[in-house]
Amino acid sequence: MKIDKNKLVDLLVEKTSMEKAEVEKQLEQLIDRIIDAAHRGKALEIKEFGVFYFDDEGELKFDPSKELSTEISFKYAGMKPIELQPERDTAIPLGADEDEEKVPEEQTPTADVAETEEAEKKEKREKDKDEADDIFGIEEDDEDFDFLSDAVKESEAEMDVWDEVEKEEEKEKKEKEAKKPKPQPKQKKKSSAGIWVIAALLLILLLAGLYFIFIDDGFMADEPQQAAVTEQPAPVPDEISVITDENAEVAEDTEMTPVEPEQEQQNAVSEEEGLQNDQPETITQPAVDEQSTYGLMGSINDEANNGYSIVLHSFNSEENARETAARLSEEGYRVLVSSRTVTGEPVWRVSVGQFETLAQAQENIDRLPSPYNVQNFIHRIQNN
Amino acid sequence: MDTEFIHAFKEVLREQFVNQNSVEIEGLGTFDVKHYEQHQKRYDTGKVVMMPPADVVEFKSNIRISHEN
Repeated sequence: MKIDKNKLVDLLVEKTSMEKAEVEKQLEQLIDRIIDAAHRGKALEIKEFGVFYFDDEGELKFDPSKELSTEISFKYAGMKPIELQPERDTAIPLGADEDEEKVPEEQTPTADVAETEEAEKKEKREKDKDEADDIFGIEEDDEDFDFLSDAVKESEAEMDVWDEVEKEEEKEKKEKEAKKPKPQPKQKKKSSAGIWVIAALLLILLLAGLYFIFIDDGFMADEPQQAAVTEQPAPVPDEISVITDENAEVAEDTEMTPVEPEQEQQNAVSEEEGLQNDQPETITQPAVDEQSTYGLMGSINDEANNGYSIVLHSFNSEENARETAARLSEEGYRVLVSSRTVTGEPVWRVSVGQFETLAQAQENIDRLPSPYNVQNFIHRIQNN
Repeated sequence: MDTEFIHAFKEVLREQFVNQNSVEIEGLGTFDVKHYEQHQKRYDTGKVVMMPPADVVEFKSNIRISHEN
């Protein structure tokens, strides 16, 4: 619909207490002032509306103010440009992966390391799933996993020895003795072996700390999870005891290999990040309620009338509007009743909440009960 | 000029813009509300972004300043 000057004057007459002639006079004055100012090379600003000026080519221009722009585009408030080709922030994981791959390449029997890697990756995934799971339980699982796979390899290689348990055990010992020295040279190869040891110790402390924190916080909440985890290691120790005690030593050695601490570090870091990310979210929500000037609930604050409100009803009669407003304010909402002119008809809008920004108003729509959370719109609060 | 008038002027125009009406003021120009669909945009840095849709006021005027003086 197009509003011409006559219609505009009519609307202005409705809005003000002025006579039509007076409004026309005022409008002419306004136009004159805008053009005069522009001619003098100045820009005329109407506050919270926009700026009129002549551009470099001598054409009269108008730049809407921020307030006007956001209000007109209120449907899309809070929407920001979305990046379509994000530069992936994978710098840390990529570097770690490279290291993992290089280390086993240096050695000949990669199968064992590869399997521990797989196990560790599994561990990582599990940790990602249930943030601070029973870490120690999972570590034990890894060790067992290695021994079992060792046993399988041996049996494949030496099918004839199946019956003779003693021989098998000897071979196991030999193999494990052979494996024992391997992790050690690996440590020596690394120039910063000492750093790795310190890192490993720190990690163990960190993990122990997380473990206890988790027990304190999550024992009640995650009881089923804990139970499931503790069940896993229970059957496995039997299998360990069948194999000799030396295995335990080997296991400790493999635990000290440089591969593991790195991954654990990542896990620990990602867990910490997860925790840190969670915290601010939980803090921000109550912060909205704590705001005294603006908010959805409570009573009307006159200082907050420069913001936005969520319109829930629109009536033709003031009486109906007041009735509904009374009902809503009994429910604890900040209720505003205001009159507007829409397509020439006066309407009474019943709106709730006083919000500083459109985005805040938009967030609070989600807190409204069923019919209102979809049937509403936001308008700027106006003092008439 | 009356502040009451300025206030009413802003309010009336704002209401018309929100209702997607264009307003023509003789001797000044025409305000139009234009809707932009979401569209892709490439920054100079090579970043490609999806710009959100938007309603924007555009002002057109026949009034020109003469550069003769």
